[in-house]
Amino acid sequence: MLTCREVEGLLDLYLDQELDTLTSERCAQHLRRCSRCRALLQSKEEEAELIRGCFPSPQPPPDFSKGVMAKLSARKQESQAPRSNILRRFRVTPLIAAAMLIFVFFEAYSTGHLPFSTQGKQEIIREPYIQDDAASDYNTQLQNGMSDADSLDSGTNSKSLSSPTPDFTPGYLPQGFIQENGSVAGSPGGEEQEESVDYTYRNPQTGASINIQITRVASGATATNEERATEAADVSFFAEKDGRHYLIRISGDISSEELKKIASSLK
Amino acid sequence: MEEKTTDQELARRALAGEASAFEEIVIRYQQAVFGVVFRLLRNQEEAEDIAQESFIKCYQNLDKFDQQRPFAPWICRIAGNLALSRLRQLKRRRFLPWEQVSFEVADLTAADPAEALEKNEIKQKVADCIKQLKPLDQLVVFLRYYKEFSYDEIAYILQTRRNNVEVRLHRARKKLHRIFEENQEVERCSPAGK
Repeated sequence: MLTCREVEGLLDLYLDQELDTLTSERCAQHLRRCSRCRALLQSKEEEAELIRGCFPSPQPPPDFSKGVMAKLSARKQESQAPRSNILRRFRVTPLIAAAMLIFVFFEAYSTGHLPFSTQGKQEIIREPYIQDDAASDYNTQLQNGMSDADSLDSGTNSKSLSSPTPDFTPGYLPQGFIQENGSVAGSPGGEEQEESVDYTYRNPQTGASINIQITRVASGATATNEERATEAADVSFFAEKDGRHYLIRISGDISSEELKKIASSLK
Repeated sequence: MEEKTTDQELARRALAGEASAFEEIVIRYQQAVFGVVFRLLRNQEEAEDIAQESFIKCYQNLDKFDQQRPFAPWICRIAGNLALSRLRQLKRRRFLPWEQVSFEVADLTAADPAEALEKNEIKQKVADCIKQLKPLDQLVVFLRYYKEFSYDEIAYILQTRRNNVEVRLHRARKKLHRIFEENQEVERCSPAGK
């Protein structure tokens, strides 16, 4: 049996129906027998009623729900806005893709990779080591229907293809030398006719230069000819490539040992 | 007689995209939500704004609502959270709006206007006392007496322990009880009370 003091402490919870079943029942038993605790309970009920009745109850505005729905609708549109930004970005993407396509197309066209490209034929003009007149000669050669097999070079890289002579790029160069230019002379009209390509390498710091002259000669020419090296600063030799014969003459402001090294790297 | 659509049913329909179902939820709970928010912020404008935000957040998280549980504590918890965040913001800015709230306490249609006036005086005192409670205590009293949430539900809404709710309620009741006692004392001393 609960005492009055115990019940007094439990009355709020009893009134709020927050007591467990057993304690609530014990409280009820006490209240049935104790008029003082019953009066206290009644007083608390009145207080609770008063609190409920006078509770400051500010009301939301009458159009509150409409306001919420309008705000919600606006938020939905806002949340769709980033999507439209994305869409806008997607709209931009085709433009970028188109620009890239044009760029790639132009590059392919300018490098002669397209079958209808005329730029490839002109590229020879842009080659830094080929003079314009040679290029026009070579263009004439192409226009005359000369096949790759008939051309002086049937190599695979574009420089070799566009060059009237095989690639005789030296594997060795003294330190500091860079290629300066190249020039083509002679007529490529027939196999027996001479033609030559000059490559110049220069050291920008010292001003020294190396010249490699490659001359296509008649098939009968041999190393025993007069073209053999005659000067200390020159190294000359005959070379054969793709069944054609060439006289290579290397000269320059460097020692004969260096020249020989270059010659060896060419062979 | 047509049965009232359950909150769960409305939530399901709102989730399915039925705007009117969500509007019904707003109408059903706007007073409770506004009450929770106003207890904490005590400013009509702020309360309106946060109450609206509470419903928007509710809508955005409707799919997370456990339909096995009652809806009211859930929406009130969202509102309480937002209001408390806002309150912290306002406190950081050293600005806490405080508005006087008018109460509908005068009953001019009462049979005995003198008695009604006396009752109004008590009501006004209680109302003043409630207003002077700390925001969270006031909210607990509101949730208990006005919305009749259980202690556990109040603890859930305020994200606190049940014990904390009991302590706050006890503290608030003691203050209010003092007013009632004072009033009874006045009644006993007054000629009308004799």
